[in-house]
Amino acid sequence: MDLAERMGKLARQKEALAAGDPAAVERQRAAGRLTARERVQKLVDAGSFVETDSFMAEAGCVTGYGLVNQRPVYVLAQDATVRGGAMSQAQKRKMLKLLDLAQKGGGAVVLMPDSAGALVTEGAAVLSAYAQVFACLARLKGELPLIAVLAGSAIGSAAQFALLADVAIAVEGLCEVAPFPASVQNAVQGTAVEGKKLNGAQALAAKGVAALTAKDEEESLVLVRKVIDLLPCTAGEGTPLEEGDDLNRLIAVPAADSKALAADIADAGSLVELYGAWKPSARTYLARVGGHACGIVCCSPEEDGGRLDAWACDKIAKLVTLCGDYNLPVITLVDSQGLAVPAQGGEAWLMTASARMLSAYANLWTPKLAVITGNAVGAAYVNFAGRDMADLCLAWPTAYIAPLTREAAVQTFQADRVAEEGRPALEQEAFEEADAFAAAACGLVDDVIDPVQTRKHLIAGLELLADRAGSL
Amino acid sequence: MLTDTAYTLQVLTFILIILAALLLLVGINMLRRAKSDGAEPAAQQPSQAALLPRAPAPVGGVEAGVAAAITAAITCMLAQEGAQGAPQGFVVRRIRRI
Repeated sequence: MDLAERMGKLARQKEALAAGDPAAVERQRAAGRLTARERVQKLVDAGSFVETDSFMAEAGCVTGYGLVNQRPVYVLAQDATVRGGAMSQAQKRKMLKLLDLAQKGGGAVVLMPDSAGALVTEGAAVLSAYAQVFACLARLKGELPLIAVLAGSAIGSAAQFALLADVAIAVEGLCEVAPFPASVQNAVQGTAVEGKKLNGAQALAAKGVAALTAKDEEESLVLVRKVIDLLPCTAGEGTPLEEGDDLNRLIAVPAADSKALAADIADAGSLVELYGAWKPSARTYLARVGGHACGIVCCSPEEDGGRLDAWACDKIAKLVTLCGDYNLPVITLVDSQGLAVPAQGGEAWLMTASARMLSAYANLWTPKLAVITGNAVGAAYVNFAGRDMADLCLAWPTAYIAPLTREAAVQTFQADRVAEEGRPALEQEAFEEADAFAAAACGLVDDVIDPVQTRKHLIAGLELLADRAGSL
Repeated sequence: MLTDTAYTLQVLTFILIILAALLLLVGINMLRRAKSDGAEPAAQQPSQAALLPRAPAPVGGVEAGVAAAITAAITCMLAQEGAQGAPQGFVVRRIRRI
């Protein structure tokens, strides 16, 4: 056979592989889902995708590499149109080959689970396949950013694709992710809830499994690109600096709420809230501030005085750990009355989670900047703003820094004066004894700043400490 | 924010402007006096201008002019400061590292 003939065969085979099984593709479209190849092509920069092992069609997944905003990404997309996208020995081999390449080349790994489960005809060997793929992903976590797009089914072991990712994005109306099928859950719990409602995007976001939700697949891919932009290619690198918003822009004070404050501090249009539907007493973001990619933790005083329960502590620990893994500075906006008193029996989990949060801050080697905008009571100061927890701690003139809330301080130390002088006067006295100026006078905060200049102070701090985060 | 040297130069410039304005006002005043001393007696018929209502004379003569000159200089200075954003405190700049 001559070259022209072989080239013809290559072209025919490539075309057939790309087209797939028309009936299966039609079923996928009827379910309102994109095919694996369509997802990949919509994710990467036009014309940049290189598919690997495309002739291993029976593996039921599309693998390859491409560019997102000119930065390398590696994609593993289960193909529900081929054997239901089920995990198999062949799929494992294909996935492991790509993950090996990703480790060598460096770049974010995008996981797109969409399968009917595992190819059970392979027996226990398929469990080994899962084990090998998950072990590889677990080892890569913290080395390469892992992002999961949940636009299909990931039931049983496949749910680990979502849980092992650094950021999971669930698509409304399409995804179903759970350790057990809905039928099993309903049988055990005596319910009759539809699978996509029980384990769909909204449920995953409310449980803190999905960091982000998208209205459709197109939006989910836009979010993936945005998240990739805020993370480095590998843990050993910094995220490229991006010029944009004015370094000397003043912020609006007072802000409507904690979210508006975070948005004003961040560079215009750069804020991405993670786990927004989960435990809003603390808010966590990825953003750029003065062009530096960073994490922002924000207490929400509008939610129970910003008191932190165990899950809020866990949420914060997640973001701080992510920032530590990927060289991102952390900005913490503190306005919290401390830890929330748990319901009976919840003390152990609160102590565990708050210790996890404290450890995350203490072990964070990237720049840590704290701004006390209101209350920094007890654990709030200790965890977020205390020496060794923050490299730079600034306070607004409205800040109150004390072991006890004003109410508790009056109750504890001034109970005998309450009847004569009234609580408001005594609470004001307590505030003035522990305000920002008192804290600054004894070095508990580094400076008291004009709130409108908060962004400028934070950028100056990031500029000073940026080298530690490896910014390019 | 201006550097110390630039700021000093700016202040000196404004002082010079004030002095120049003072000298000009004194000169004009002396000329007026000399003119009125050597002037012919008033004509029999009042001129048309003399019949029109006069604008009120500046109070204090030279002193009022000095005050106006100083005010103008200060206003100019403040406007320039405001344009540079100096009242907002420090300015953030990129730190260049090698």
